[in-house]
Amino acid sequence: MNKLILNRFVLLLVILQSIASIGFAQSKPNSNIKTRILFMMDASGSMTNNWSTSNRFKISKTVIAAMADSLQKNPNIEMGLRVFGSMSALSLHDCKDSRLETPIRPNNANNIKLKLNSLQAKGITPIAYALEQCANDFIGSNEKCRNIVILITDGIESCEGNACEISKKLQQKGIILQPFIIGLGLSAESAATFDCIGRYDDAQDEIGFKRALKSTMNFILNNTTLQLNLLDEKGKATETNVPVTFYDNTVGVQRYHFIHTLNARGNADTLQIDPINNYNIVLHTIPAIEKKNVSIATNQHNTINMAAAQGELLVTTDGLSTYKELACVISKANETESIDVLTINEKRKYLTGLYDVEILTLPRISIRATRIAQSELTTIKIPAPGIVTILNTNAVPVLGSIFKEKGQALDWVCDINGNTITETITLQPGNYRLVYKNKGSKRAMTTRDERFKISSGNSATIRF
Amino acid sequence: MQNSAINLKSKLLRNLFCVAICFLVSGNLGFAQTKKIPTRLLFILDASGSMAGKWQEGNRMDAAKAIITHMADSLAKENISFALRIFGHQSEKVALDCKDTKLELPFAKSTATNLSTTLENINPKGYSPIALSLEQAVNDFTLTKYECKNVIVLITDGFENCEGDACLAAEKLQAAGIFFRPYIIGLGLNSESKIKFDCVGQVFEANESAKNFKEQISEVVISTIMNPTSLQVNLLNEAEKPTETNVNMTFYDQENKSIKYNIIHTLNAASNPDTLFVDPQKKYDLKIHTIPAKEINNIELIPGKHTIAATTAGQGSLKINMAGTSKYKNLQAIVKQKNQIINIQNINSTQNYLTGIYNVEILTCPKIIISDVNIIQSQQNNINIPAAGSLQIVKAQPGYLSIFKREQNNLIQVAILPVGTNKQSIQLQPGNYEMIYRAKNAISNKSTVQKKFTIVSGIATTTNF
Repeated sequence: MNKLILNRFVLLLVILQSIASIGFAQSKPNSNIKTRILFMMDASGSMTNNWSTSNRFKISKTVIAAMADSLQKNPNIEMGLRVFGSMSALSLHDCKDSRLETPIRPNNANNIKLKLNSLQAKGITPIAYALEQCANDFIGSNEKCRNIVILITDGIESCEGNACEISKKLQQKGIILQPFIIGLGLSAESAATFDCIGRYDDAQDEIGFKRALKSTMNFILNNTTLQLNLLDEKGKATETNVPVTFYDNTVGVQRYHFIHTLNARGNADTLQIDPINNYNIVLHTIPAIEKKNVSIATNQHNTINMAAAQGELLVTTDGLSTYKELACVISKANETESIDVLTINEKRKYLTGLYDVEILTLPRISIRATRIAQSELTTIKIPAPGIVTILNTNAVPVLGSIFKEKGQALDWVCDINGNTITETITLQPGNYRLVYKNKGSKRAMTTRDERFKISSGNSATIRF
Repeated sequence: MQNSAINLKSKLLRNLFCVAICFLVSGNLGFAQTKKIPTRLLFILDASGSMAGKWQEGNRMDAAKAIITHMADSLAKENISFALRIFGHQSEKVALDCKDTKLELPFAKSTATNLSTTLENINPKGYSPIALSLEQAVNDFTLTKYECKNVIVLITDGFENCEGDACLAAEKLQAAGIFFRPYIIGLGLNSESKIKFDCVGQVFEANESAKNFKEQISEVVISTIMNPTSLQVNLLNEAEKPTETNVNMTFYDQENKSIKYNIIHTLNAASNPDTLFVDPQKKYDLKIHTIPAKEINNIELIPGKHTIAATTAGQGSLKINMAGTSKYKNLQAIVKQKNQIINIQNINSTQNYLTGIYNVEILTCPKIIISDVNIIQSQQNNINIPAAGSLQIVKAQPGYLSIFKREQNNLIQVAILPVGTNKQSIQLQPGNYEMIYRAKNAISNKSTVQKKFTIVSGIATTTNF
């Protein structure tokens, strides 16, 4: 009797702690997120076997009822009850013996308790079927809900179903988070079959059961925090203002998405985080950085460091520029795939390192292995362009191209339109040639070769 | 004839006199070897003071007159009309007259009698305005209704001694549609003059030690006029047919790597690659400005013959079409081959490429990468991309804002907006997006605002933060 009181006291403490942590959580980003808990209870025949002070079924009813009462005080929690093995006798081997007894709703504790009282333990253990059916139990929840299944059982799957596969599928579809399983008096061998379904906890007696449920609730209604430090090259957490995405490592679903921020004290701001999953953290620097399979210690302040040393790049022109929307294609040095397009006169941060920059002027400017250094602004200055105006005064269509003299060689720069009376082309300073002929001419030797010089800010004119 | 040819090649210039011969062929002359076209020849005779120098028993002037007279006789047999321009004959040397050049005998009046009368009264006197003479020679060829092959024969004993740039003048003849580099027959050119004339034209020599120098030189020159050395460049399509055309070809002098000509490849009236007249004494490396460029190296012309050089240059075209009206400013695509950028192509424009496989990276937001774009002979490959939609973002205060494209579960950052801008429009390709925004001065992660949105082609959306 004393033991029972003590147990109840412990439970109360647990509940108080849970409420406290929930209260704390309300000030955090996920404060409005509803947690929907579905108790999935084993009512197979074996549950009536003697266990601890009573039998497993009675103890389960009492413990779940008490938990339901306490959780109801939290406005962000909704509960429901699904049972398996309660409808058909063992001998019928009914593999579809599972029913949602109490649909998930707010203020549901009394309904759950009433239902628990009326239940009888009879049949077999169709865990996979029950789990599959629970997908419908969460219908109507929006994606901000945390949907949690707590499976309480004293036996292993007795039908053909593959509970592991079903669990994985439901998680991938974002229907549930990783399930929790509390095994009542299971052998180690039997317990091992639940590892692929979810997070397993073992209870060998009533006290163990209460402890396991308490621990599970602690886990679910946690006070787990995370500080993501973005380190500069000196290893100091000074980098910030970068978007970060946390993906669920198991199923790839996005969990958190925010812009990294330093708090008033200049430290990386703390994030309230769900420890149920491991995460892949993607830092949207340029290029992006990923840290895979990050596990979070529950009920603790976790600190995660990611190297994210950055510097800035600016491409600009000397003097006045007529360039607008000029694209500069950025790729990592000696790599072919571009990672970003930077517009001229716009500063942007990149991870420190060497980059190749292709500036889409006419002709193109290729800059190899530009160094981006920690906290420094690297400025690439290109000459201001000049303009060539081509006046086709004869109004006869012309076939022509502009070439740049490069040492003794000629490099193709662009074709001219040739069909318009006036055409202007913005070019980098240099010596050019316009090679053209009338489109209709059948004689190669009518080709004209006109030299012109472009200097910054000036214009050249060619008349046909 | 053969001796002269050897002389010509070895460029021995022992003679004191110099006879320079220029060809000036009108731009309309495409295929001399296939069609008989009347030829007109303009002599430009140097009558500057130095022409009084010794040549065999007489002086250089006498030699020059003998050459012209002999050539005029031969020309009559070939049905070639001629004219005569003279420089340096009107003013004495002390007058420093650099405008002393005159068409003394136009084509209309060129008879043997008139020629001898004209030459009779010419005595060497003044300066050598060669450049000016070449410039003015253009007008000596009166316009005709029929195609004409216009040739200039310049006879001189030395290089320009006025301010003029004979090289530039020769180049201008080409730019005016007169594409032959001048031929220069040297009568005793010194080595310095010889080098300088190299950029004006091809140098012939009259041989002072040969008694029959005038016969020799006439034969070489007339033979060259009648049998021009020519070149044809065949750009072969994938079926090995010379149908590819309309690309510029840069002729580099193989010796010094300098640019000699730019000629746009053309198909003539018979749809054959048009005949080119280039200096036959040079070897060429040819760059054909297809995308990517092709090269034909070591082109060597056989004097008096038609040489054909060929390369495969099968082309197809690529057009990148954006549906509707593009609101992107200056939307471009990077065209790569074997990881090298080979062109930047504007959207909605067409560009020819050599046949083959290319990768195209269109700089939309987010960028569109199309791998293995196959350019097929004579076909246009159309890449169609959907029209963008536009998003206008209004920020109440400066802040960090990034836009992400949602691809299955993944978020890919596609745009970062400047921190300070209050209002900005951005073009985005259709799809599902998310953006996150946080005020610049915020001190908590939870200040981040997250918005999901969908972009539809041609539709403008506005978001306020």
